[in-house]
Amino acid sequence: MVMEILTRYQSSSVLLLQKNLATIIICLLFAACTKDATVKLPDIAPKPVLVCFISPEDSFIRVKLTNSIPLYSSSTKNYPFEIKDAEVMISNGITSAQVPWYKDSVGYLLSTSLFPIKPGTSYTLQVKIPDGRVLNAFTTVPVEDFPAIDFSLIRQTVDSSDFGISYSFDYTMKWKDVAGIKNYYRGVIYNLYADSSLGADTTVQQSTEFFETDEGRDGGEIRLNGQGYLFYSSGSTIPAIGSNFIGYLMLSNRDYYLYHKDLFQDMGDNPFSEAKINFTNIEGGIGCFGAYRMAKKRF
Amino acid sequence: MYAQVNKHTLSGIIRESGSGETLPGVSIYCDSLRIGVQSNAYGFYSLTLPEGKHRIKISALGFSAIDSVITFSQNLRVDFNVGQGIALKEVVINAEVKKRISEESQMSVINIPVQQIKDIPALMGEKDVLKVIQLMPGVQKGSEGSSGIYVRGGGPDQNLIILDDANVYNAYHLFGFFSLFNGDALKSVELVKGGFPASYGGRLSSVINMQMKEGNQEEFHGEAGIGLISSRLVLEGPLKKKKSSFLISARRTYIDALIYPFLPPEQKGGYFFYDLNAKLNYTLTYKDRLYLSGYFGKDKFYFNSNNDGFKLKGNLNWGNATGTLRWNHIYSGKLFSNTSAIFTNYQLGIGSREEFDSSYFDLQFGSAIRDYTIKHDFDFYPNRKHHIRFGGLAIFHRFKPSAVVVKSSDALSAGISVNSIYTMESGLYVEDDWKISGRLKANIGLRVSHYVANKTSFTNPEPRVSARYSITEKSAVKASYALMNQYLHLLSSTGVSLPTDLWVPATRNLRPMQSQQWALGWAQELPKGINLTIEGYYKNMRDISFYKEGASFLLIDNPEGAQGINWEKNITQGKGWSYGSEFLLQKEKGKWSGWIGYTLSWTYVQFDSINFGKKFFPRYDRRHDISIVNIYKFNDRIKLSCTWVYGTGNAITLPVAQYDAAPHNPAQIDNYSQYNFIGFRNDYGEKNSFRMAPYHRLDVGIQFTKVKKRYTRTFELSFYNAYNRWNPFFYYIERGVTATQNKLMQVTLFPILPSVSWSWKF
Repeated sequence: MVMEILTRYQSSSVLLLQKNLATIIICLLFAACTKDATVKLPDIAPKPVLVCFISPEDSFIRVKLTNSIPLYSSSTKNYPFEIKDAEVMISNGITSAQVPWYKDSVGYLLSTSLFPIKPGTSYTLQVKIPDGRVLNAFTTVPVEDFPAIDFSLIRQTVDSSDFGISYSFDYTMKWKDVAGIKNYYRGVIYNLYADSSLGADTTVQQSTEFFETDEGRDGGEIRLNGQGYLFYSSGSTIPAIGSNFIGYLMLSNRDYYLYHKDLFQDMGDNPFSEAKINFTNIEGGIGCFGAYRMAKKRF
Repeated sequence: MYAQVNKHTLSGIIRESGSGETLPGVSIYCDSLRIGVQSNAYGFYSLTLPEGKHRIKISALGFSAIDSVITFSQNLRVDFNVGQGIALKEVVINAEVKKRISEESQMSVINIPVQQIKDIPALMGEKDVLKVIQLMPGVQKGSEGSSGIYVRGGGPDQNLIILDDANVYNAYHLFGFFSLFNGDALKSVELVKGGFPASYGGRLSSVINMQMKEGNQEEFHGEAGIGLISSRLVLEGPLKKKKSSFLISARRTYIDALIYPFLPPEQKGGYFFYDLNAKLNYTLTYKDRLYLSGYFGKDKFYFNSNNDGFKLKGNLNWGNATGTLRWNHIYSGKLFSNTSAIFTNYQLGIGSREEFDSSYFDLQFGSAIRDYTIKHDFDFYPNRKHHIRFGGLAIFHRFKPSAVVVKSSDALSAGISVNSIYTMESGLYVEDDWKISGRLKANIGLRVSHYVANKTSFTNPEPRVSARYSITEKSAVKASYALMNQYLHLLSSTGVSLPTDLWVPATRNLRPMQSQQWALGWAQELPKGINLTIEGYYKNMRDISFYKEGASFLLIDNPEGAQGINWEKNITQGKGWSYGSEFLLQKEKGKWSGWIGYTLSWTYVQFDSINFGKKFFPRYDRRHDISIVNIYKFNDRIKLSCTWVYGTGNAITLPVAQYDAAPHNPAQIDNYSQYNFIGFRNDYGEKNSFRMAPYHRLDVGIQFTKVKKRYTRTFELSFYNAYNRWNPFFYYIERGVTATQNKLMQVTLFPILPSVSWSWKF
């Protein structure tokens, strides 16, 4: 219960005290002086960024390929943000296929009907960029049959005030872990609600994201509690609350898990937190080539 | 064939004349036989000599020496009073005699005269023991203004800070800018960086042992001081002349009172800290003495705001309390014992309350550590070649790593407390300071430490050896080895010392830390009372702890998962290595005194779950560290002091690029694009591969002292950072529209800061 409350309020007083404690106090007590730093800054070339997650449950193999943007360098002009002209090859060790460029904001796309992704199989991804840079990555799809998810609403609370109306939802998600192997789970739960201009269930609001492993609970039940929160200010059109939640549970490999967990925990530019170096398993660049199995449940 | 010569023991207590304060570390030296001992922490000494007439020299830093001829034909107790008074008729004052570094078998030990702490200019005029220790070679500070101590590559948690036998867990005020120890109530300060005697244990990297004054046994005295941010008062005197005395010392800041009138009525806040030291002692018999001492200190930061009915209240407070009851007993001229019962408590509290109309949200966070310790130590002097120390201690720890209580108007009230953890740490030790030959002296010891937590226990033997070999009368080569274990971990998610850093015990999943240190050194006495010490060391550490990346004391790993409340799962353990060399040229007495210290060192750490398992420099790794301290006494009225420090910049992780780190978005499974742009992430490159700008600073202070009829007044004017160097405290990126417009900005905490203070001694 307390953890639910902490989750809900972590953006307010808890974070105020925890994350910015030192900053607040130092700023209050001392008139700190700010100026341009006079140190030699790293001047690096952009790095290729590769993101690709494959799954037997997905209809496509999607590859996103971009360049990183150096923070203190002017040498970015020859490097477009999105790399569209690379040769992207995926291989399962026996056969291989090219993932062709599809379009902006989607990237490279190949139907899994042409190159199936199978549980328990390892895949390599090789990217050759015309400027000579080459990326290599390797990942293995989890083999487990996915467990059934039990997803249920515990409580719904409606609060009305002069400012508007808010809906709080407490729900729980549980499943039985597959025994005998270390499992990594990422869950994402969304609120869905109708938008009159787009039709039912077309607007998605991410509610909760969590990361779990079965450490210490191998083969046991894993149970997670989440909370949804919607607020409509006075005077706005309150949409009908229908079939509100959809939960996705990804049983992933370690690469997929660590990459997403790092993104979730990113502390940004907070100078008082230890910098978090994001996970990468891309040789020659940064990013992630990961794999997952997926189940979803809606109610 | 030689005639049998009877031997007798000369023993007693060394005191400061005028105050009756017992003096530790005083050298008692028999010139003719070229043997000597040092008084122990309670001023006791014992020297076994052949029957007859002997010239005994008593010398202590900061005191006039005593040259005394004693004739004895039986065991004799002689108490010496050093200073201005003379204890015995035969005594002759001889200022040439002093403690000799080339005589000691121990190495890597620095005694810091309390008077020097008061002479050295300090931030905002607040004299600070730990800041002076930071000026010694082998010791580094964390960040600008911080009192955090990093000794030979060890973290701030690896220092055993002892005040009158009591462990002090968070020795800092004002988020690390000042330490708890201002010098007013202190009698002695000793820093041990390596070659640890077996009597010390429980930490990997250093021991900072401080003893409080006992209080003047002869007459009432006091000292009061007013500074920029705080005032202080010390009172001491006899309760029963030459039998018992007291000392009380207090300090409080007044920042809160000064800024209060300038704050808008809807936003009020403030900060203060205070210290209170108290000590009583009572001489029961000629052989027994009791001491009762305590420290109480607290920091509190608070704020209240009211914006259009939305009320926010918050506070952060932390504090230490220690209490020590000690009994000294002299069994005989050869055997002395001390028994201590010690209480230590550190607690942190954070409170926050939001209110709007009738709704509210309350959050209270607490963390605490409490120790009960019993300690029994013996000093045994069987003959003139051996000084044996032995004893044991048991510490009963109670940890409360975190407790959260939440209350709110919407019925979502609850409380959760991580169960208190009870552990027992104990140790038995024996060490012998053994004069093997005229040239060779060694301190050989063994400590056996034992630790129990739940159903887990550890027993570790810890061998300790240090030795000196005299090359000439004034030079010696020294070497040491020490193995140390530490059963506590300090978790810090920031680069600065904050009270929110959590002390946690070793458990089945969180192994105790261990270090081994080897050191080799040269000690040379130069003319005019100048000492030169050069030491090299190598230290390895295993099972040192660190928060996993992204975890911290409250923003727990996964608030909804079972591991969210399990602090052990937020910690990773790894290894560390440090090696380097230290150079110290020191002049302790005379018109000019001070030192030049230089350290060249390398420190690496490696954790499996940080930086992809690759080793990296910790933030406090510092290649070069220089301290130059000068104190010049023009006459009895004017004293000038200046300090210059230089250090390689801290190793930090700086973002070098940003990139589109797209996550997998399962809700878009039916669309082509699953990788929505969610904002740029930083690419940091290698962990701690960037160096901040070098740190350097000059502090200058001048003291004017005037002796009045009833009191002595001292006025001090000092300048911290006299040439206004803008040292970086931290960096941040001011982001522009394009990469060429991004700028790295540095924040400097302290430009030149003048301060004045007055003190009166009566």
